[in-house]
Amino acid sequence: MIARIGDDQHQRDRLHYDRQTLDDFLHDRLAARSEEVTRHIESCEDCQCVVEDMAEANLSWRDLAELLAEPEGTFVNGCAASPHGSASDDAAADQRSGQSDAASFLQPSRHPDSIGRFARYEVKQILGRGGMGIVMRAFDTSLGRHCAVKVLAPELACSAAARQRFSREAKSAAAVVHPHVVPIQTVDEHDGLPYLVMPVVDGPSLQQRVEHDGPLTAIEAVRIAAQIADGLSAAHQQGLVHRDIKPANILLENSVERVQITDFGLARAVDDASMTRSGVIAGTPQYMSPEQAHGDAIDHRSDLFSLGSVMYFMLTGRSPFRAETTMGVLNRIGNDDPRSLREINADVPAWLDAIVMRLLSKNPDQRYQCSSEVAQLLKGWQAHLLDPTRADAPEPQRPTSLRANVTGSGRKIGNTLPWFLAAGVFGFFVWAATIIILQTDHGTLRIDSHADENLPIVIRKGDEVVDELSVTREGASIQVKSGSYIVEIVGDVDGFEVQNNAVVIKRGATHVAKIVETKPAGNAQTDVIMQTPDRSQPPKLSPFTRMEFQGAQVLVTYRSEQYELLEIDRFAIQDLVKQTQEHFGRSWKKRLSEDLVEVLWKLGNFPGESVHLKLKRLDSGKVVSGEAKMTEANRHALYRDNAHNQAEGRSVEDYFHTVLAGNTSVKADAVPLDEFLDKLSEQHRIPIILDRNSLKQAGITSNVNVSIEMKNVSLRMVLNIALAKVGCKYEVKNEIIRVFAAPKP
Amino acid sequence: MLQGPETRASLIGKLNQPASEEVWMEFVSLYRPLVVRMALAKGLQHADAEDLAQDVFAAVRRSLETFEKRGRGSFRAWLFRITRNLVVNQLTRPQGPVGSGDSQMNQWLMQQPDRQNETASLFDHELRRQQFHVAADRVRSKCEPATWRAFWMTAVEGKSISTVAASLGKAEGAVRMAKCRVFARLQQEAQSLSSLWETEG
Repeated sequence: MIARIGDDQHQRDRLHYDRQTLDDFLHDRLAARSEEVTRHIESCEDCQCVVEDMAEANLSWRDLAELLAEPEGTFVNGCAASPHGSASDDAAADQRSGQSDAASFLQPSRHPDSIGRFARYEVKQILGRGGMGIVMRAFDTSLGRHCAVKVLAPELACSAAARQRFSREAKSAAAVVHPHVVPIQTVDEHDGLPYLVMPVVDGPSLQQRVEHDGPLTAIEAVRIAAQIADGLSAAHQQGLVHRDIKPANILLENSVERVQITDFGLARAVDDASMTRSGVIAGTPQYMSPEQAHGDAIDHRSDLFSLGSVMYFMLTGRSPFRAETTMGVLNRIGNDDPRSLREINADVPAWLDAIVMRLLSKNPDQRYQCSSEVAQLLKGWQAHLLDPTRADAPEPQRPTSLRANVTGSGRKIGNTLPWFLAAGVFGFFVWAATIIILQTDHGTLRIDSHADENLPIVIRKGDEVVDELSVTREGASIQVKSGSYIVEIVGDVDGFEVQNNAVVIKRGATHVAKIVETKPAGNAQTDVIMQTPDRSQPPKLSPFTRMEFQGAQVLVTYRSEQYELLEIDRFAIQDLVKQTQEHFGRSWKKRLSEDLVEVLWKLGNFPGESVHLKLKRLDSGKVVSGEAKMTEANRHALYRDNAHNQAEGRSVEDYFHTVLAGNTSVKADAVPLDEFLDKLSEQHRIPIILDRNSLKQAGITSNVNVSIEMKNVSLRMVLNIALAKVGCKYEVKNEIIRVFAAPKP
Repeated sequence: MLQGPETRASLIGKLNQPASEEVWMEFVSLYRPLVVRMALAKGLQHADAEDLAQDVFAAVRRSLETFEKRGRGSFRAWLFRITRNLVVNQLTRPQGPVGSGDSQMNQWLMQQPDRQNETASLFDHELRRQQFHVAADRVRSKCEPATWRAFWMTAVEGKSISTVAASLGKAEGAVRMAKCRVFARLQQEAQSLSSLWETEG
């Protein structure tokens, strides 16, 4: 085993090992005397040289260094291995992964038990990170007390408007001083990040309490509700609406069980920062009021609806409007009667059921009109429950006309329109009396009549009559472009019902007619495109290599020179911008620049390989015009350039991408897909919405089971794996993450 | 380390068996970053690269149904092969951004990528990189931190043995051997990854 090259036993450094031993050493295969061998080799240069040579047999050191060198900026996926040696590398990789940027704004701290410093606060722990803000437990060094610091999420703080809004709302919330409202002690900004400071409330939230102990007794629920109503009335008197009353925002101080409402007004601040358009809400909006879920203007009575939902939760352990998806919840809030409390929990007294149901009226006018009234009423009942002999029960509740409102029958509905809400991609029906307002992304309206006589129908767009027709039993189809339509049905009908995106019109118990919108958009369209790519897919061409947006101006680079764009094929740029905004919403800049031909197609203009341009020179102001050739190469240059020049204006979609790139851990064991997505949605506070129609068309059931268990991988990866298994994919579009059936080959 | 039984057609059987589900998860975790990186290297924007990855793995998943019929080699190798073909074909098409193009999935699956193809060699290069990154991650977790640092600083960051020895407070010979031994483990790990996933069994 040992080859004695030198004869003299005293000259140990001349003693070398044979190749086999060195190879075993290199590959950790030394069985015996490994310490001795190691000691020798580590001090013997000759042996070292041989080992080094052997190590390099299949791959040179140089190639190794090249392989392991960080490929420039491409290890962006949250799950990429981060095999870097030094701590700084790791930190950089973590930052890129998007998740740990939760604490990226912290400065290093000298305190051993502190994870970092923020302004004058030593941060002890990140308590939570919602989509909108980060809550930290911290120690206020100048006042020597513990507190909770809430910072606007850095990715939202890049908008000045969002920052101002956050600060303004936080300041008005700070003006509310009431024993049942968690006080805001400080509102300030540090390094461009607005934050607010609240005391630490020691105790569980109502959510935790009910989850832990189960539904509460009537007397306990009334006590807590009375205190919430009390706290709300203090805020409402100052004109402040909470907007996000939910069990997680109701804190129960330990031992005294004093109720404290937290997060006043912040919902509004973050709403503005993150979701500027109505109709799409992050997370599961189980406690929202109908007007809020609908994106309408709201007032303090919205909080009263939410209070009703919270009471419902306290008494039954679940929120009144539950569905498998965010959209389902929204629909139910708008349209459904909650199940009676007494059906679920027979111990709930009838009067309490009546109070909750009145709070849950769809129409704000039919709820209690102010929170102090509710507080009074509940306190009265509380006193009565505590001591029925001394305190009389308050006046019994008038029965409300709730039921008449929600079923949509009759014509007395007035301004309490029941509605059916779907996010932008699904279309949007609102109806009242015999008028149906239909919002569509263009498609076909199919009207089936079951009536014996012909059914006269008028379809208007604005003031213009689009079509006037008499629907026979054979039915009728009308092509409609995108926009809002009013469908007026002449004749006696007395009820409506929404069934699977169709409006069914009733007279008594019989169906008179059914209106269905069938859309070429979405998968159907995609399929057509796939089959005949030449005809139906707009080519990806552009005359420009760059497009920038400066205020109202659109600047383009055409043949390496920059111009202001005035017209394309007779379309004034202002019109083009407006139309693109209408069709594509927030992503209009991307679409106008990258998908110019598609945009023009949408407007009924089908250019060949060239377009007529009118451009203005930036230096001389001279206007030039002429035919410009569109090429794939230009468009590709523009497309690549866009990745950079559009990075500044962060959109909601960008934010979602950040969340998707962040790391997560999941464990699901045969969980239905819809539930699985709901959970992810809630956990990450991003709206992941299941397009049931698309699944249905593809023959996939929305409760198909998902099993997955992964740790520390990107949310993208989780979605990828789980969705591919069930034949689905997701897209980030129109401010939601839509999950739909992957088109089949 | 990757473990578990060699996933031959007979063993895998139906997809809903837990064993194959684990392989699937592991497979996507391993190769999804590679696909995204490839797409980025070919000039796609990030969102489109992500979309491409989704399409690729959705197609792979779909074609799992056909595995049993054609399965000769190992399940893992088969997964790898169709993924490589899909990616190479997708990214070889003339224009940069890629539509979902699902109707062509079948064709892609049938096609053998051209060996000479530039995209294919980019894929193989990126794949090798990927192997070493994954291997490095695994080896690192099994090494003494000082050993790993000795390796990383000398072999990858290109620092001299003496500098590193001084900064780690170790003998030069120890640093030099740490470098070699970690390198050897790394190659072994990369090799076992490659033979588990990428070669026909």
